[in-house]
Amino acid sequence: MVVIGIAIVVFLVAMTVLSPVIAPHNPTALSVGPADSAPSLAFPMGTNRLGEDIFSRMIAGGSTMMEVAGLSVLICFLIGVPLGLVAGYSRRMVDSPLSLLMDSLYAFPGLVLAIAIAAVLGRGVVNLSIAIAVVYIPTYFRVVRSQVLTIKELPFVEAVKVEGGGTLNVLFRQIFPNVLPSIAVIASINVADSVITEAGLTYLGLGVNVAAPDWGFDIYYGYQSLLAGAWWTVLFPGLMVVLLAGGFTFIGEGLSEVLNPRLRR
Amino acid sequence: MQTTIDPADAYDYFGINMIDNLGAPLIDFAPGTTNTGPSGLVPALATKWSESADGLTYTFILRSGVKYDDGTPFNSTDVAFSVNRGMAIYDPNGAFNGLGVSSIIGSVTTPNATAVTFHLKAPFSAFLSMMTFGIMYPVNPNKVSKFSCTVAAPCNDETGIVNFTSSSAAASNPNGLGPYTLTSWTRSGTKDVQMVLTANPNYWDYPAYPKTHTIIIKFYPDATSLAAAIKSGDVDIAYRQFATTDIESMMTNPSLKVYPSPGAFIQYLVINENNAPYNDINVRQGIAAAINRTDLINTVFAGTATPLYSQIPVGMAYHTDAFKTAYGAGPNYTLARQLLAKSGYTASNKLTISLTYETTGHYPQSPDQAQVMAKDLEASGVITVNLQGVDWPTMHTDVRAGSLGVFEYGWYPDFIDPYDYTTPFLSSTGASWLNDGYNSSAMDSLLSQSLSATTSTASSIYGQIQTLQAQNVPIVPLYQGGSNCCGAVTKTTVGGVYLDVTLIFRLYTIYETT
Amino acid sequence: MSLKSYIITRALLTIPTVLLLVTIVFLIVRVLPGDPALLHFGKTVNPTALAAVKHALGLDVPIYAQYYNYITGLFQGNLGIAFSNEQPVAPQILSAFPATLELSIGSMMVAVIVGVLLGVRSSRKYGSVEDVVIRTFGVVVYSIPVFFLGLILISVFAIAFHILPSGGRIEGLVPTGGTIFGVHVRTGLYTVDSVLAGNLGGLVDALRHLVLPCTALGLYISAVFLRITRSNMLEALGQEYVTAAKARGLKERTVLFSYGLRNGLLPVLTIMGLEFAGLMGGAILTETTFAWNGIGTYIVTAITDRDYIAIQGAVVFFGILVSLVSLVVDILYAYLDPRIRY
Repeated sequence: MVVIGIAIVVFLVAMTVLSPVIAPHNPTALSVGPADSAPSLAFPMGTNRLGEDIFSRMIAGGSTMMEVAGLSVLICFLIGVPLGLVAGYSRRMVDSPLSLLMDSLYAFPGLVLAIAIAAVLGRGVVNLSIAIAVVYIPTYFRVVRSQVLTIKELPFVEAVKVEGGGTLNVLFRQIFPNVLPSIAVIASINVADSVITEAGLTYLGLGVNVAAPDWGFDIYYGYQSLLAGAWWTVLFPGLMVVLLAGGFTFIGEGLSEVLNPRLRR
Repeated sequence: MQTTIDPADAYDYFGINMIDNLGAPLIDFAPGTTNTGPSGLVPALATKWSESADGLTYTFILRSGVKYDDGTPFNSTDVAFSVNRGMAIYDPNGAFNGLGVSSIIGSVTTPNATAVTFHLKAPFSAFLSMMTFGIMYPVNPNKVSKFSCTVAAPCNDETGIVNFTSSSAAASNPNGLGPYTLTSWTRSGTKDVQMVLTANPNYWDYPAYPKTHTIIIKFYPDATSLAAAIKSGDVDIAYRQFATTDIESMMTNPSLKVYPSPGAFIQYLVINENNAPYNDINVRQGIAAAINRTDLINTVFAGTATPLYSQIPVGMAYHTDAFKTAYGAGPNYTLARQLLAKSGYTASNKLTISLTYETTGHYPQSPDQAQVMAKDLEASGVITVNLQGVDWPTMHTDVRAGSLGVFEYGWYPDFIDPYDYTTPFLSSTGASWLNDGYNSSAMDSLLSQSLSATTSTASSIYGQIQTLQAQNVPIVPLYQGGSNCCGAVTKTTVGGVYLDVTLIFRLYTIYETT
Repeated sequence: MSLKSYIITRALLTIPTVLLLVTIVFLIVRVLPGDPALLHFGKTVNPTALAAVKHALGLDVPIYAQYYNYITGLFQGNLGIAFSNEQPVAPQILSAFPATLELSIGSMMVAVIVGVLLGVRSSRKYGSVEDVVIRTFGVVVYSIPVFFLGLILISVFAIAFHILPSGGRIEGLVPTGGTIFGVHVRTGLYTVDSVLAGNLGGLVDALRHLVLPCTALGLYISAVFLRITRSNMLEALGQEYVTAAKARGLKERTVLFSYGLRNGLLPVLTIMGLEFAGLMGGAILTETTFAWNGIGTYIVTAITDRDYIAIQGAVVFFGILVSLVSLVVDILYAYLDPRIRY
């Protein structure tokens, strides 16, 4: 499963990176073909309401999503994991307020938080990534923290502490590597979620600039054409999102299966 | 949407439209009218009206024997009461304040039970048109609560306004002279869910109108769910706001009928002269010359809108194609390049402009429009366009802060008169809401002349106003109407739909065939 | 620590959690670009009028004063007056909530039924083609954006085949005073209201409108249940007591259902509680797609209108709800696993 997932993701990333070279038309060039025309030899995926070539838009349309998803996972990792490690390992004084803050954030309807932050920060890949990251940091925090709570009681950790290993040493050299597998699983699932959230934000009008092609944007605007019978305007961007999110989910699912030997018989 | 259909406070399109169907004006435009001058007015609650020679006094003779839907008799004191109430309550964001009614009307007197006279503070050529606007429809004095303000000392008395109340539709509706009465109004959260209108036997033109006894109004949050509803047969009529592709497909759908709207909704580009390089007249004129209205309308609106060459829309009195006269039908790239060259902009030194548009569906398909306009402006070879999309509240605020460059805006008329399309845009004081830095004493002088213009002088004055706008270019008009914003789609079994320039959707003329 | 004191501690902790939540949202909305007072004016603005509106909305006092007023109001159970229509927020939220509740319950039902059944099946047939197919289904369904699935469902079932309505909650024919489709609105859950009144037509209509949105949202969430059920079933089935039971000659079916499922289901229940929080995000997009007037629509509209009080009110409401659900879940956990106390 992991292999399939990685293959899909690598393929999509490569496609996006190479898009300036392989896309037959400029994805934002208007009226290269008749509006809302069905898939044909000239336009393998048809055209949308503005006469743009959908095939080219599909090849190039993932870049925003990938950048945002990747960046937001990075932010989550850099903030959520250390905080979780610290909270799990420390005494109540440090743990309580941190957990309280994370619980509050967790109770915040995720999409609303993302919308609000996106509205505050404005458009742009970085801002959107921050908005999505803030929503998922509590999840990383919680998972890491609960793992640390369990691991720190284990004998080998006690042994290191007895031998005089400092806190940082214990945290990063003993506990962190054991927490890593869970993080990997969470991260993959989260990238999938980020992709979907980014699509959702674009759907609500809060995405990045219209100048760059974007699958989420195309789904929203394609719906009008869909009602008129032009199914290709919605189906293809939707499938691309499913592919990308699916790829990451496969990785996550596969990893969780591999890392949990109790499930294998 | 606001929660009120009280003429003293409602200022949103839908609230006013409900007043149009639940109440009645003194005078009106005929459904489907193409004549929006004073000669196009027809009697409603008033049978005759006259204007004094100095333009300061208007007298209306009312029908006798008219009653409200609850049986209360109607007479001239109700008209005076309603107008005075609107001026006294002074909700800061209500229509009475927005239109400046208190600076137009001095007092209202009632010589007898069927006559009412308005005394104006100064001549106002658009007064009769204003009387057709929903806020001037008389309310039922028994249905409104006491308020403490007076015309001399207006105050913001919220309790005086009749708002939505979930317990009773009748208590939410202070109108009552119209073809319909409100029998049910349901809301959920801040959204309307459903309204039910049933025929009012006390309507002065009953039983000729309304044609249909019961109308159920359902609300959809956006253009696509509305289109889905009419296409799946969930509703018989769909009104207002559709996407272009939906309109196109519905036009070829044998079970649906599409009514394009000659409506007076317009969109235009505002150029903010407070910021460079927009204070340069060559830049503004260059943009006006390079604009391609045809491509915009064909690509984004499938040709269903009309190109607009003046701030005053086609179909309104005194309209002239001022921008076409000045720059050609467009795009006129040769002229644009000449104009921009005068300020040193060439193919190697392009003019860079920023074009701001809204992204949350406030106007039809703004991102698409922006893309097309950018492409066409850049096709001149000497302009680079930076597109900026922001959500509506941000844009609304940024406009008033004066921080934008070029931005696209729209306008629904308050009432049908060229005044409503000129002073609010071109007057140095009246156009302050646009904060575009336009200040021309010549224009201001023409505008104040238009206020007291008579039918013989108006044509010339408005002609000069439009020509001057095409010269100064504070605003570039783009297009008007179109089915997107103001059209209707019905099943083929529905008739009696009249869409005209007033943008009033008259439910009482609609009937079902077979 | 005893169970009782754990419950009390957790319950008390809800208060600062919600307070912190309120503070966060209070600050965030005030950083949003766009002036809510200005939004009341479509066109011309005169400064006196603007000042009057600012005063009416309570925006002309310093921020800490606004905060203080709001918090004290909260403790009195008052969620404030909405900016957009100057009506109290609490009744608006309460009138919008039943729609979201009906959607959530329906979706959860779909998610649990589909997810658990498929998860059990998949665990039974571990390693087989059927297992792979089911797991792929789970992955795919999880990767489909809810609104995309919704759009597809609408275009197929409503537009193409006219079997189901395209949106909204109820048809709405001639009502009789305060009712919708002759459904006397009591709880706001149209299905329940219809049943209470013995109104079969209303019930059918309400259900017809629920089918597509609950399917779209429910399928998306079912993937989580599928995964959890499957892994828990596999784990349970690998336990020694199961092997022992089978060794004693019990039929596989019995083993599956009485031992495996019972132990596998407990985490499902707790997941149901946790997913409830995630439902809101999905609900917003689903409600937007299906013209469903619930809290999701309420929040999105409030953000568009920069209606601070309405946004705060909805977030507070939802925050309390989620905290309560988490509380119940945590208590269940603690009850079942004595190792975890605070």
